Amino acid sequence: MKRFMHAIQHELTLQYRNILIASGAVAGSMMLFAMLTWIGGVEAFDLWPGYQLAMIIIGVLITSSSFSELRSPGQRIAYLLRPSTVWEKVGSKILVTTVFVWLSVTVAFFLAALLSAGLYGLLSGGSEAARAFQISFAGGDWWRIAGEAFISYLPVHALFFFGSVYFRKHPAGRTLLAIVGWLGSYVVLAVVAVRVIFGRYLTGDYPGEGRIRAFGREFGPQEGLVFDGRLWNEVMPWYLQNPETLEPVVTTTIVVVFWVLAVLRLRETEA
Amino acid sequence: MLDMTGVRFGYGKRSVLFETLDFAVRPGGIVGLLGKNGAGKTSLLKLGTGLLFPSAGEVMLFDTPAWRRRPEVLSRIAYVPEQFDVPSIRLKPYVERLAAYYPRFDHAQMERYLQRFEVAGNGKLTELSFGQQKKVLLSFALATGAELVVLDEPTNGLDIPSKQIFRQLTAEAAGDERAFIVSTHQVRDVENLIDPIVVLDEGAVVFQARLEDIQNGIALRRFESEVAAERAGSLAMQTQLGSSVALVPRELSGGEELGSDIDLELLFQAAVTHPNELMRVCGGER
Repeated sequence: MKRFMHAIQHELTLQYRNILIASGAVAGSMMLFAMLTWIGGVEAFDLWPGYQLAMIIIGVLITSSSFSELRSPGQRIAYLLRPSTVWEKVGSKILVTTVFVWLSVTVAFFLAALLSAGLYGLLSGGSEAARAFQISFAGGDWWRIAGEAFISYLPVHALFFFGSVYFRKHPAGRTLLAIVGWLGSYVVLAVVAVRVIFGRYLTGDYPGEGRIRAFGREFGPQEGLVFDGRLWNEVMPWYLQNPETLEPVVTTTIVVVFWVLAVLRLRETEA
Repeated sequence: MLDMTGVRFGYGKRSVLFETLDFAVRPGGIVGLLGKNGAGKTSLLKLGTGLLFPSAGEVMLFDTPAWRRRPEVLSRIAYVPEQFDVPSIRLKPYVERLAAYYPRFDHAQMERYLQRFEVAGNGKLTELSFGQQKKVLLSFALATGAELVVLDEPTNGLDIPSKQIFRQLTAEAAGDERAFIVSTHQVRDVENLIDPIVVLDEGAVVFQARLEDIQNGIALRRFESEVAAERAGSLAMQTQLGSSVALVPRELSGGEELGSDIDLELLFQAAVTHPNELMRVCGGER
C-alpha cells in the first residue's frame, strides 16, 4: 500500500502540470468563447453542457501519453527498474488519468462558472446575480452532470488506456482509428449475417404468410434492404433496443476488460 | 548478489552475443567492466538487472531470477544508464518522489553529492546540461544506499574535474556490503578506482582478477626498445619518449620497474591479445 501511494505521488508529479494546463485551457477558452456573445448584449450562460465533451477530450489526451516513459528509449530503463509492480504502476496511472483528471476538469469548470456568473453579476449591477449563478451552475445540476460525465468517461478511458499501452506511436489517433475500424467491420459483418440468415425472406422465397410468421408482419416495397433500420429493429435482441437497461453492464464490462487487457499487455511489453 | 551462469544471449537468432557467459558480483569492491565498443558490456548489465532475458542459462539477482524484477529486489539496486532522458520536472520533487522507493536513501548524502558536483538550485531537469543531468543521476544512485550500483559509462559527458569527483565519491560510497559495477571503455577515467577488473571481449569474459593479484602477477617495466620488451615476454606495450613501456609477467626478468601501478590500457590490451597467459600469471578466473 505504501509503495502504491509512492506510485500515485510519482505519477501525479509527472502529470499534474499537463492535467492542470489542459483543464484550465479548455474551461477558460469555452468561457471566453461564450463571453463573445456579450458583444450583442450581456446574458448569463451555462458552460456545463460542454463539460462531458471537454472531460473526454482532456482525458483522452492525458491518458494517451500515460506510457510515454515506457516508449522513450532514454526513460525506459528508469521506468522498468522503478521498484513497483505492474499493478501498482497501472493502478496509479488509472487513478491519475480518471479521478484526478475528473477533479481537475470539474474544478476548472466550477471556477469558470463562478467567474462568468460573477462578471455577469458585476456587469448587470448585481440585480441579476442570483439568476446568473443559477444559470451558470446548470440550475444547481452541475454536480450531477459532473458525476454522469465521469461514469461515461470510464469506458472511453479504458479503451484509450489500453491503446496507450498497445500502440507504440500516436496512441490516441491509432486507438480512435481502431475503434472506428472495429465498429465499421462489426456493422458490415452484422449486415452480411442478417442477409444470410434472412436472405430467403428478403428475396421473396417466403412471401406473405412466411414473412408474417417470421417477423409478425408483411414488408413494404423498400424494406429488407441492407441498411433499412426497420429490419434491424425486427432482428435486434430486445436489450439492444433498450440501451439504458444494458448500459451499466456494457460500461462495466468494457472498463474491466480493457483495464485488465492493459495490465496483461503491459506485462508482455515490459518483458 | 549477482550470479550469471551459462548465459546465452543474442539480439537475433543468428547473432549470438554471449554463448555461455559466467559472471558473478559479490559484495565489496568496484567491479571494472572493460571492453571495446560493442563487446556486450551494456547487454551484460541489462541481463544482470533483468532488462534483457537470456535464451539459456540463469541470471540470479539477490537469489531471485533477475527477469522477475521484483520491487523488493529493485529497491536494492541502482542503475545509471549510458543514455537517458530526464522527466520535465524540478530537481527536488524528482529526488523526493524517487527516493521514496529506496528505504535506505540518504537525503543528506544526496545534498552533499550535489554540492560536490556543483549542481545547485531546484531547476527543471530538462534545462540542465547533459553533464549536469548525469551528475544528478550519479548522485542519486550513490545516495540510494542500494547494495548493487550499476554505472554504465559513468564518465561520459563529465568534465575533467567532475571525473575526479566521481572517482572520489564512488570510492567513498563503496563498502563491504555494497558492490559497484562500473562499465566503461574509457579505462583512464576509472584508474585507481576499480577492483576487481573484468575484461569482456567477443562475447566472453576473457579476464577477471583482483588488483592485488594483477600487481603480484605482472609488472609495468620500461625497455630500451620494442625488441627488448618482446624478448622479456611483453604481454602488451606502448612506445613512450623513445623507449617501450610494457606489461610483463613479474616472474620474468629484465627492464626497469615503473612502480606498482598498473596501466589499465595496457592491461586491457594484454587481456584481449594474451588472455590465457595473463590469467595464468595473475591467477585470474574466467
